Amino acid sequence: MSGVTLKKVRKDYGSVVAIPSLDLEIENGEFCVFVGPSGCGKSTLLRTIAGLEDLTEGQIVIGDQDVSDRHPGQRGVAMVFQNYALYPHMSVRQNMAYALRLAGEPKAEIKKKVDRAAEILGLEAYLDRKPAELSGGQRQRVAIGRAIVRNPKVFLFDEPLSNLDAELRTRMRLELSELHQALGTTMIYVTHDQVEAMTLADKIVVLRAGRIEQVGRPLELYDDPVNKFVAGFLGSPSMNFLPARWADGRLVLEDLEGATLSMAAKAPESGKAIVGIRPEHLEIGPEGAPLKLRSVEQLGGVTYGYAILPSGQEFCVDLKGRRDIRAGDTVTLVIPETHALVFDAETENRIRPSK
Amino acid sequence: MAHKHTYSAASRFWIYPVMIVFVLLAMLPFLYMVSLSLQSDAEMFSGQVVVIPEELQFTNYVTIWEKAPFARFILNSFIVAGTIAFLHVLFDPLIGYVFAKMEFPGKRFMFVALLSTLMIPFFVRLIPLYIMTAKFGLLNTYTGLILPFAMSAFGIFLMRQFILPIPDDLIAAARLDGASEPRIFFDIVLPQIGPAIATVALLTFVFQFNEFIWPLVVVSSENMRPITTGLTLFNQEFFTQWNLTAVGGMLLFLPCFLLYLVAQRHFVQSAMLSGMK
Repeated sequence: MSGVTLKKVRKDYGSVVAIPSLDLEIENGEFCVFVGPSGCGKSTLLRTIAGLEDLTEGQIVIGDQDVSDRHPGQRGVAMVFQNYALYPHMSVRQNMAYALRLAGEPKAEIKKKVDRAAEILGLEAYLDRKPAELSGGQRQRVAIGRAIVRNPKVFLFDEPLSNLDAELRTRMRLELSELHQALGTTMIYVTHDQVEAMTLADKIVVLRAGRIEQVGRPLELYDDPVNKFVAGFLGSPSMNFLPARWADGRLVLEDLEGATLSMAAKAPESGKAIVGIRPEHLEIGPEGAPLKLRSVEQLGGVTYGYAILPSGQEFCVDLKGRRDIRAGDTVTLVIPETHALVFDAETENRIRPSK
Repeated sequence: MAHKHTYSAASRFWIYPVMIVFVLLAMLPFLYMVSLSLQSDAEMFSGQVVVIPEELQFTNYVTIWEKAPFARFILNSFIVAGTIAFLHVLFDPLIGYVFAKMEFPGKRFMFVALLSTLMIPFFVRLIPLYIMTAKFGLLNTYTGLILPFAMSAFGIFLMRQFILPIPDDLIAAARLDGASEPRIFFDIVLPQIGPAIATVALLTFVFQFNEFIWPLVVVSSENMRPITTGLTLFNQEFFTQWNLTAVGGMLLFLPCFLLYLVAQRHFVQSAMLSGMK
């Protein structure tokens, strides 16, 4: 088991800079999730750690060894791919045994390791089948099994659940979490699904355009984002953003009929801000800003109301449990000041209250 | 539904006779060759077109071995066509793999240059190729017959097309499993292009088994002749023994036909996959 340290990692493709310069420390045994929108460089970063992409500059340290120039097979990492990448002409057993066979391990030892991994993943009955004869979930298990048998220092997962249906994805997510607890190995996981990131991670790394926006524990990032991008990326439904202007030390929300929030902070030069508030933090009270709902989603345990604000912004409110509210109804909103986050309208960075 | 059924029955009614006519037309020269190979000298020179010989002269199939060293010709054909097919199986997938899955400077230019050789007719290259072969002292040798055809742009192109759809992640997975580049090629890539390799081997063998011009140009000694140029021995100054030439034609046809029967499944599969017709 080993941690991973990235020092000034840079990756260029010709004149295109995919990752400008990135430093990151992943602790031994940690489940670290790289999350971000498509094209943010998260898969590139993972493949660079794996050695499948050459580093342009910088250093990758796994455990106490600099592996920057090592062949992928000699870095002590195993990877699970989005499309499984199982060898189609080999049986499940042969797929799982391939790396061990290449490493010259004795046959008896290979059999023992493959049987053990198959037992952990419930694949005993499928060992002689070809990948084409397996379901998506079973294939993904084989891919994980192929990684497990190598007993790697670090597991790398590249969007491993995105080809599965919703139900199977939830089940595999739980299985992955249990596997991490059982093995205790460092895992790096790439996804664009913030639910996977929130549920699996010990540490989330939010990436945008090859740069780290924020690193932290899931709820830390959820509660205390450093900018509008991170705030909007984590959480489902995502955070509401309202344009606001500073007036006499208070923030005026034009979209909510001039409702104001007190904010003890230095206003930016432009005097313009964005107020972020999560749907579940909004309250419905007898008095407040009226909001006409355009549509209502009754999900059983929770009800969401949606509206379009005068500025054209979409707005979502958690109506708390089952409510007899329909599209076209008007609710009165109360914005609790303690939960409202304020961002600079220009830089989109968080403006924190002065102490 | 009923209308569709009527339409398809009607189309079948017309299509089958038309197809049968075309198949017969295509087979006519072959059938006439079979007939010729069983005709006597008298029938052949009678000045009339004999379709079915009065008496089937199976002795022609014995005579041919006595009139010329045909065993040697057949051996030569097998050595040359077999070696060339083997070299194609060895080199075409390897080069196709490099073009499909590896990145290197000048790759695009080299690939276009390779493909452009397909546009140059063989006869344009014939004279320079002959001069080079002569300068290397390879006239009347197996090497001279084999070397110019050891690889083909078409074979490489076909292999590249088959290797392209193999997911890059499969190769990456093998790399992570600790496989070297040759191992990736032999363990992961090759097993997946079996039908394509069988097709290249079959097409190359058949094409080379039938090759006439190049052996005619580089081989003058009788011992080095393949069947194709060996058959010209029956083409004499005042007459041609068409019946024996037709027997030779049958000897050319049989190995290719048997090979096709063996590899038919792979051939059809890869022809369908590659869109080749």
